[in-house]
Amino acid sequence: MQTMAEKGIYVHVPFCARKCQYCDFHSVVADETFVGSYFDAFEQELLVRSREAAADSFDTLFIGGGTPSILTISRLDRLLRMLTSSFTFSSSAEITVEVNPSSLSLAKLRCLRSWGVNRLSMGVQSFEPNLLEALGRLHTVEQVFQSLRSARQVGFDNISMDLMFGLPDQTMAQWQATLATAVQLGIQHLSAYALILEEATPFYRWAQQGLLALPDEDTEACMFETTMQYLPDHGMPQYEISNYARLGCESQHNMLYWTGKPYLALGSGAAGYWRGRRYVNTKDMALYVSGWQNHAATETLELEEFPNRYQQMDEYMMTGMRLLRGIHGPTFAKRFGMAISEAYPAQLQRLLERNLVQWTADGYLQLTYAGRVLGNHVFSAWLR
Amino acid sequence: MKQDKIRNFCIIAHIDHGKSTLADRILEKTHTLSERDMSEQVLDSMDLERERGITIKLQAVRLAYTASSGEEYTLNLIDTPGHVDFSYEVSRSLAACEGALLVIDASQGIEAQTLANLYLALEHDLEIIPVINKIDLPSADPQRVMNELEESLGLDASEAILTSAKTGQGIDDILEAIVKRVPAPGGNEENPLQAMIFDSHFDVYRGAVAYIRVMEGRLSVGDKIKMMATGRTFEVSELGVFRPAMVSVSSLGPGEVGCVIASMKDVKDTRVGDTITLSRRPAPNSLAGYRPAKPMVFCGLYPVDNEQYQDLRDALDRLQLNDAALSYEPETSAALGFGYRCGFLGLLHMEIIQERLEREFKLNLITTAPSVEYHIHMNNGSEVSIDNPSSLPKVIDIDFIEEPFVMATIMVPEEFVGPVMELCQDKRGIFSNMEYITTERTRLDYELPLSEILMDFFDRLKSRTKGYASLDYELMGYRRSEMVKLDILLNGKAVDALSCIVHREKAQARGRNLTEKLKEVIPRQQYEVPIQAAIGSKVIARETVRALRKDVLAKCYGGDISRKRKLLEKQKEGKKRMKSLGTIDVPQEAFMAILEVD
Repeated sequence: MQTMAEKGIYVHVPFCARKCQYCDFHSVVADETFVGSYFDAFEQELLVRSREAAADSFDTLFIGGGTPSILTISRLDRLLRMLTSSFTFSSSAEITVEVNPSSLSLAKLRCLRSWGVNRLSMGVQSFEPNLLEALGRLHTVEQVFQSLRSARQVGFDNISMDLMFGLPDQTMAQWQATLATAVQLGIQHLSAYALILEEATPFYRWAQQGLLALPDEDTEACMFETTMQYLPDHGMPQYEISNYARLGCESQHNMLYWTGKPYLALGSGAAGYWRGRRYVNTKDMALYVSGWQNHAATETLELEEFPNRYQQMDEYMMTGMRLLRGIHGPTFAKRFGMAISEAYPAQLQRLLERNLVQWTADGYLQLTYAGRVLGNHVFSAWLR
Repeated sequence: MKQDKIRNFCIIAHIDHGKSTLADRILEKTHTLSERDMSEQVLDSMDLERERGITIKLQAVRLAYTASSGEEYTLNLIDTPGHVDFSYEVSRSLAACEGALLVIDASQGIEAQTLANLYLALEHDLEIIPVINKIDLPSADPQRVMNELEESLGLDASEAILTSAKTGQGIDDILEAIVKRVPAPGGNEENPLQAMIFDSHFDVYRGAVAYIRVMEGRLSVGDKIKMMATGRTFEVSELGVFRPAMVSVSSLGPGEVGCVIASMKDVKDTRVGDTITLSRRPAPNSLAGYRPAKPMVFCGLYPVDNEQYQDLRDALDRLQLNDAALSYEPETSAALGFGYRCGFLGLLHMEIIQERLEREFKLNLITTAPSVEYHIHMNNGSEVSIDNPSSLPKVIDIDFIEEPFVMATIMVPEEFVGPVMELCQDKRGIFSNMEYITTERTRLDYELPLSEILMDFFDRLKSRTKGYASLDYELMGYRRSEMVKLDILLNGKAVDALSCIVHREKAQARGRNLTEKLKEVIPRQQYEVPIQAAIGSKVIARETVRALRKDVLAKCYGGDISRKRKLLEKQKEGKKRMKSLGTIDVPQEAFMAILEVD
């Protein structure tokens, strides 16, 4: 693995061309006028946040959404110029943009590339046309291949794809074929997520009404286990519950989340952790716009908390145990002033007894194979 | 106050026949409350009562009424609980009255509780004023109800008053009938004091408050009183009447109804049915009918989190201050740890206490399945009573077992007689009597084991009769039955809190159904969980909860750690409602599963 990133920035672009049926991430479908006033407000936030971080150098920037790639070239251009001129990035910084195959053009890709974007995270979800349609995705399978070719053409050599399993009507054979296709495409990184039925989504409602033919628990488990077997066998080791990468291509930005590192967040709905403060920007777009227009930064927060030492510890465990390498005992002890076994004697013993976690010879506490499939039992164990 | 201008009455009705609304209208009509002050159904004061639509605790309200003759009357309305669990309390409040309004729903007709309460009222020689309520409903059929009154209750239907408590129609007629038809109370002020306690409650500031009806003599503030059943003495610090808020009075004479405050520490000092007399001039005998509250249904209450044990104890102490019928003693379960064995008047009483403990005292409890008290006759001639299946002595030492039987009265439309008889037979019932109340309505009397009534008998009765059946029962005594202990093993280990005592002939089916039900309610866990039902060492049924295959949150929700944390906390919260038995997490429903199988 390359040197560890220490600080990052997350930018949320809360716009989509259309909401997908399963998605509960914060995004809206908006007209150009509203997008314009949103970015006016966004630039106000950017100004304030960049002052908070005037002396900091960042190792990652992640522009997610929503669908950042639906922005016009001129807006993408302005956004990246603002970001790169307002913050200092280290020379090897990982700069990722989430893109949707339906809204990518060579010109857009060139624009991204020109500002130093060196990683693309592509929302693919599936290589089955019927599943894409059921999910409410706008893109076609062909557009995925086309986007990949274009991205490579302009020089992107670090590309990640999101895929989903446990979808309605999805068969085991389809999922295996999807994984095989992804591997053949020779991409560097794969996020394979199980479908989560989130409240307030059409999928959730349909499932409640019994309209979705979701795979049963066993099939879904089987899909997960197949993924954990197949991808590492094909050169993409699993390094986190849902993430697989060629060696050295692990997502530096997501690593920040999992290892308790600081990250600034900008944009409506974005969640940050900066100087001991966790904050989530409001998802109320009107409030976000009016708040930043009036420079009233505090009113635009949906959540603000200062985790105490114990909360920090709990969250460090909760997120860190998602990584397959686990948590380094001495690093934990150094950071929190006590060993994991001191902080969580009963929980740790219970998990060890149940063979959900194990110690490695070099001092890492990590998930066992059983712990990976029953991860929630481990992640929640530390919460008091 | 003139004794001949007092009228003491109560309202008896089947649940939902409109008793509380009628009481409200009477309060309004007598200006005891202005319409503006009325929150609906004043007499039902506890939240729980409102939600369940039943009256748990009785109260007495004094009403001032100017009759059409121009004379002033004092009416005391004594409220009665409407559930079979509280039939003794009902009998005491009836004993405090001279008259009763028998309220019958104009569309429903006579129900089991109507009947049971009417018989109780007749036993106490009360003047009965039949009131046919809800005549404003489109489905009302007052003529049919009048026929029922004549044919099955032997009442004079021409005396029935047609009302709608909802619209207020007929309320004046009721009030006139009360002063004209209900006799004035007897009793002589010169006699030694005899005042009957018909209810009590615990007040944080005043201690136990006894609701009384003075039968003979006079009680004044400052008097030294003696409780005739317990022999305890107190000094009266305050006397009051309710209109409906308490108003202090200096004394209460014959026929009067009010409350006594006398620095009594808890409601055990103010036992319902007990007689209060004066220490210096005691009555030669107490009033008839006193009987200490006797629990009929028992269950174990255990905190899910053992650290809440002391809190549970404190909560039970608090509740008992207000509820003499609640009994409890410490109990230990190998599976559940430390808890309490609690005794209740019936299932409803049990549910109410359990709900109050969880709601008012924020306790997270495991309730074990309710049990009756069994009499175990040992080979050596001795006899023990047990109310916990796990304390059943070794089979080899037992000569025979007796269980409590009740006489159940079921009122049901004629078309459902077949299904009801089938149900009763299935529940080991012994047919006693059948009688047609009208051409459509039938009364069935069955002798039934009380334990079978605890097993969701009422729900089954309701579902087999589309909700038309009503049930009332009273304890008959103990009978010899072939009972055996059914043990449940999880992962090969017997869980004492899941044991139950069942009839030998039903053991096989219950064991099978219970293991199936447990398989449904016990969630899949890391390892598979074998569930077995056994009698002694013989396994009679087996099911397996398969191991959990996958439980892991896929998404990382961007950097929104707080959200992820909340999701996991929510999931963990669900687990907290479960009891860990070794490596198995068992939800609360599992312990009550036996009630839902048959």
